[in-house]
Amino acid sequence: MHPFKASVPQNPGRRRILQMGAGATALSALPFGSAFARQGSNARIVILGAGAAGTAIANRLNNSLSGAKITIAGERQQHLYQPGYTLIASGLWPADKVATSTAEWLPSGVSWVPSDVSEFMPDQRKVKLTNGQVLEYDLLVIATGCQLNYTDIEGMSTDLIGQNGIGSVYASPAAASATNTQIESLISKGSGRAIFTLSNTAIKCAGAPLKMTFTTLSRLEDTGKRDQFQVDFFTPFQNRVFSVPVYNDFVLNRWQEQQVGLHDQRTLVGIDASSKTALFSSADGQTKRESYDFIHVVPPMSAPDAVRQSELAWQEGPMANQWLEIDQYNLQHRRYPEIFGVGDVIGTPFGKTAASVKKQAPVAEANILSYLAGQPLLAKYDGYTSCPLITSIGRAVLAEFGYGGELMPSFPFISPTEESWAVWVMKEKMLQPAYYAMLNGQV
Amino acid sequence: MTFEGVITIILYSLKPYWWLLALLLVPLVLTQLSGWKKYGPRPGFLYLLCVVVGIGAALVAPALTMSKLSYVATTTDWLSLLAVAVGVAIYCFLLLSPVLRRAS
Repeated sequence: MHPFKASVPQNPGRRRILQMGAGATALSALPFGSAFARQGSNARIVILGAGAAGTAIANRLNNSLSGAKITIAGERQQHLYQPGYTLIASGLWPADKVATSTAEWLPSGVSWVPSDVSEFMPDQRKVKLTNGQVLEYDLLVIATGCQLNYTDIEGMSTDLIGQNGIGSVYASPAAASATNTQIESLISKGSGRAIFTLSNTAIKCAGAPLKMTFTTLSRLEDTGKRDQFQVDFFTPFQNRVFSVPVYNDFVLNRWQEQQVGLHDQRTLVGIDASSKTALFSSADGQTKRESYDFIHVVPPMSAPDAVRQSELAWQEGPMANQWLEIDQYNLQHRRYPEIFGVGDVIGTPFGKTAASVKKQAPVAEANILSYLAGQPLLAKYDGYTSCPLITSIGRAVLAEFGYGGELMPSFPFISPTEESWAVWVMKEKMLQPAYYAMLNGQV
Repeated sequence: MTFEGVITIILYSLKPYWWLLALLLVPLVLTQLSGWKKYGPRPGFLYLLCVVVGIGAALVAPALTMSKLSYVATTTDWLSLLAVAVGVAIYCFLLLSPVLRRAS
């Protein structure tokens, strides 16, 4: 028996999908197949989310399939280069440097519906969009990104970013810019307390809270009055601010040198903007108020409500009802084989950065083609995640790792544990072009 | 990362700077044309000047990238800086050599 057939539950319409892809299987198996042949298919493919992951997979499938009807659904008219947010919030980039038009990146062969998903009907192979439209699919790619749950912090909302000393780099370019304004206010005040926080959930770009701390420290040191400022970092975890031990140790040691106060097992649960007070819970269940002049808020994150309230979310385990349930290696849904997931929405141990998408998109593409052709899914995502960890304005460490915290350096000439000017230049000058090449499906 | 991927990213990175590269090419072409028939010796100070300009460019390169010279630390950093120095020195030589060279 075909191993793929044996491993996949039988669904209505599956035979049709196998027939759709079978015609091109022989062609794609030829040595020159990947270079010249586009796999034939008349499958209806729906991609949810027109951000980095959705756009990259749309371009890839558009390039590798002929005859398929590909639809991408995503409301946002602007495409936002989110890795640039920390540079905006650090006063290094203007906010408009990260915004382009979503339409600019979508291939002409793909239909774009500017609407987000509101409901999944996986048994009927349908999704409902917020504009009321219902899309039927033979294959679904979920790339909706993640949801920022600011309101899970009592008294907090995105409207507060940029007011009363509150900053948060995640919400938008405008919020990142407003965060910079608040940091500038702190600096111009000449003294004060800056608090940096971390969420107790999985977050996208887990290095961003650390980068914001480092760049703010850099700016405070440049004033020549560093000792006038108290800088504290609050983490929900025990002596941990980053999940990979080598980088965690590096950051904690550096912060000790830079006199950053580490408050572990403390989770931000409330904020009183008017009195500039934050409420933190601790491991023993107690809560304590902390006053601040500037606070960087990292919101709890999850898959969008439409995903986490559907049966497509993990049903048990630490990611239950929070993230999309997919196989962490082949990126296929564990219960609905015609569904794949890419990007921040997926419930995997690592993989919520743009660099992760760069590695996930080819894996998802290869496995989608195999699925349509009725072949085993052989491509595997190794958890690759990369983060140019800015340790000061002007230098960075190229952190690259995968499942199990294994270091995965891409370049033999760049150490994954050394601070480097070249890595900073790479972050500041080359990552955005690399990201755009990824959107176009070219790397 | 594949070689093809690296080249693709370099081309994407250069995209915003093609105009600058073209702009740098214009004076180079003009001086090369102006020195077309000059076969005389080059003045000795030309070499020193090019080395000084190259080193100067390398010294300001970190500042131009919002960094500091003190952050140049790894072997890759120093090799990158060396590449800047050599590149600028060669450009300077190609630019000034036809102008400063004697006619015969």
